[in-house]
Amino acid sequence: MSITAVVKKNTYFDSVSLMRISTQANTIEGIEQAFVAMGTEMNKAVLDNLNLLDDQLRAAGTGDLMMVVVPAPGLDGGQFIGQIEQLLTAKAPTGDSDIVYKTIAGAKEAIPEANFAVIAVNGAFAASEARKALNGGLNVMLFSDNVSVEDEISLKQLAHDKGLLMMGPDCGTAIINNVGLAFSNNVRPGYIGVVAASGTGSQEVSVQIHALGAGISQLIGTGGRDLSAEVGGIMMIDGIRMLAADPDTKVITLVSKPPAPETEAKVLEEIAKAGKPVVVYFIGGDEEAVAKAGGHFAASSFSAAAQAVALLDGGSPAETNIDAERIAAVRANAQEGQQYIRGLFCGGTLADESMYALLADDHQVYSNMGKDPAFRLGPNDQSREHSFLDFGEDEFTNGRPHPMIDPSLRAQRVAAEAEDPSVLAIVMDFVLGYGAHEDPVGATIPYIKQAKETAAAQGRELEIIGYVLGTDADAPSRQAQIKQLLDAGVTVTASSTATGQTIRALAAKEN
Amino acid sequence: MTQKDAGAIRVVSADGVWLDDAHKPRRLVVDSIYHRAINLQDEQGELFTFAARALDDAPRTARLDVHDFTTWPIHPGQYLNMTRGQTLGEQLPMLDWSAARRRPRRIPAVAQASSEVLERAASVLCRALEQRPLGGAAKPSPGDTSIAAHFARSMYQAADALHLAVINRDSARLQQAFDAAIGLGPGSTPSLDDFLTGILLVASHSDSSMHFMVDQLRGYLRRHPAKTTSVSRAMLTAALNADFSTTLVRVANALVSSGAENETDFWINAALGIGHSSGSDILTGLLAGLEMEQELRGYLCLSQQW
Repeated sequence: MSITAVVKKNTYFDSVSLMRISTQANTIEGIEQAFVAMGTEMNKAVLDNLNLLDDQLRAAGTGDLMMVVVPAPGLDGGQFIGQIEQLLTAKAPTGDSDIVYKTIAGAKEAIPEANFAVIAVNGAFAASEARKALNGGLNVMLFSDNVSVEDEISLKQLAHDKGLLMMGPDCGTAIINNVGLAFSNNVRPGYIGVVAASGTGSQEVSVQIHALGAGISQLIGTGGRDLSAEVGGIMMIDGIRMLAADPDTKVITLVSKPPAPETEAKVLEEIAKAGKPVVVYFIGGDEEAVAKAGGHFAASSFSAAAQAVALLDGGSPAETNIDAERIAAVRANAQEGQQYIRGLFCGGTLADESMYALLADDHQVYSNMGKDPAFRLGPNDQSREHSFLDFGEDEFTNGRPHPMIDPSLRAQRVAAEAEDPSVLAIVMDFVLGYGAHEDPVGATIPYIKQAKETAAAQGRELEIIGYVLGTDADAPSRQAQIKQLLDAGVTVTASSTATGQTIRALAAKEN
Repeated sequence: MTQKDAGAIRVVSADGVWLDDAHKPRRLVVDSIYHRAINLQDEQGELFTFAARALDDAPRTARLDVHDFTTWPIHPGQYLNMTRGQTLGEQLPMLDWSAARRRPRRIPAVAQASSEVLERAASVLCRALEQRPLGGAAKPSPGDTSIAAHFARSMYQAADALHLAVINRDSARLQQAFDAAIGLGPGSTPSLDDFLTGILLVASHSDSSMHFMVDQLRGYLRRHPAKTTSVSRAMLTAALNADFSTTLVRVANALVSSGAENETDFWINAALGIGHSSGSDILTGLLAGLEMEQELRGYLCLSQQW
């Protein structure tokens, strides 16, 4: 048996790439066998037993990479070394184990078994790249925003025709086959499938499902515009069908900000055909219509998670708790006129859920989210009365990272809000996840301390309420973030829903 | 030195070996570079690691607030002169250590569990590993003469040899088993080294009936420093001191705690995600460790009765 061996000095690859390179090399026509391994004594001993150890391999050290090729009879193994080296260099020009491809086509060619593309390029090029990926048979998660609604419709239609996922544009959260993408959290695998037109909404529902002891089968993001009248819920409807056909999904949960009524009706028609329990959490959704379609209406993100878990386990849905004693103390210690809530959020759905909690009691709320111009707050406007800002909205993210990645802009606002003597409490979310900031609480604590000191110097107590969206398996862990908040005197809530209930109780009008 | 530099990369957490000798100048040579880790060796051959923030806390590791190291202009064999907080080398970023959290040292408590608990833990782990053969390679059929089949066969033989040597408490056989096992497997932490690390999740505790193997393995590694890769040697050395990454301790302790089953599943899945087959090889070693611990307890109990 003729062999060709090559030793690459001081070249490290992790086991993923070495295994893959061996497998890929074995598929090259003309190669009978190929093996790539580090030059340890034992690996050399195995090759020696097979009479494959030549002098060059014998001299390899533990930090060297050995490549062994057994060509088909009559062929020279040397002619394949270039191809195997190409596999190595294509993966890691600097000795690194990850792959950098310049085009989707190049990646697909090098990894023919790939079936998924995450696209995060400038919005001007995003639709074209997504179209290439779909035409190449790849499911797509399109992180980019600034894609026209016409392009979104045509991409989703193309994906629908090909039986592929087209998640996005502006899709920041998905968990596909237990792989968390973009901002998703480290939640346990399980039997609840989620289709969501809201990034942080789906994060919240998934972490609450995790907290209640269950897990996620798939989390399909649709992009925030999917349930608009124009797009018509193409991806959400396809997502429901995919989860209905998925044997690992026992319960389906839908999450969205307020949908267009005609799209909501189409989606509800689909849940009736799913053949599995479907929980529907559409903020401001129609309870009666959901019930009529055979769905389970959830009035809050926690209720969505709790109902899904109860439907899976056959128990009663869990309920939220709030710290009534603490709320009473805050209200008791408030100075005259100190009565307003200021919400500073990085998660859109979390901001919505808290704001809706106040609106439910007929409070006037100023924000950058509501549609009524009379209550509209711009990014540079001073807050007034109850005010809520979603720092993830375009006016705050143009030219700078999302607050989940860079919390500094929001952190500075904490200190500014503390100057206003009418502020009773500031409420904030801290969103953990794979792509999120390493330590969002740590980056904000100095401003929280400063805010509390400012208020104290003026004879007020300023309540800061924090909610950490994440799990203990996230990095950093939820518990570690909570501890930092508690140490800084922040009141910590257990869910987005509990946060809304807490501020609703704090702001409750006296009879 | 601990002052924060505006352009510096934040160190998120670090092992005591980084933090305790903070002021000591270090001359380090780049040993190996991965996507999310850089291994550095000092003049005594000790390995230190920079890891990206997404990795978990681990022995001798400083986690930096970076996604990966792909853009670092660095190559194996390059020398770096550094003092904590000062520059690592030309064109390399400064590090800000001012808020680095000290890595908490967690000890796996498997060896302290009762035999019934060990049995239950082994059964849970056995189910989780059903479809995950050692080294990612199923036992080959007798007629398979491929290189991969030879490697797989050698790995199973080495694992069997380790098992027999430990349960017989046979020092000579143990040395032979180390000869056959250490450094075997294609990756930078060869599969049998991962397997041994899993066994050490049990054996490294002084209460373990297998603790006798710790000194023997320590001595073996000292006598054969070039038997395996530097990364793997560092992993084994730390494991001998009962020092493991957070995920490994969490999975070991979850298995023997009375916590929720899904919590155990969660940590098993997290450990299985380590490397290509490293996680499952370590857990296979842990499973072997759990079973050997039970076997040896029975043996010790019987030998005392006799």
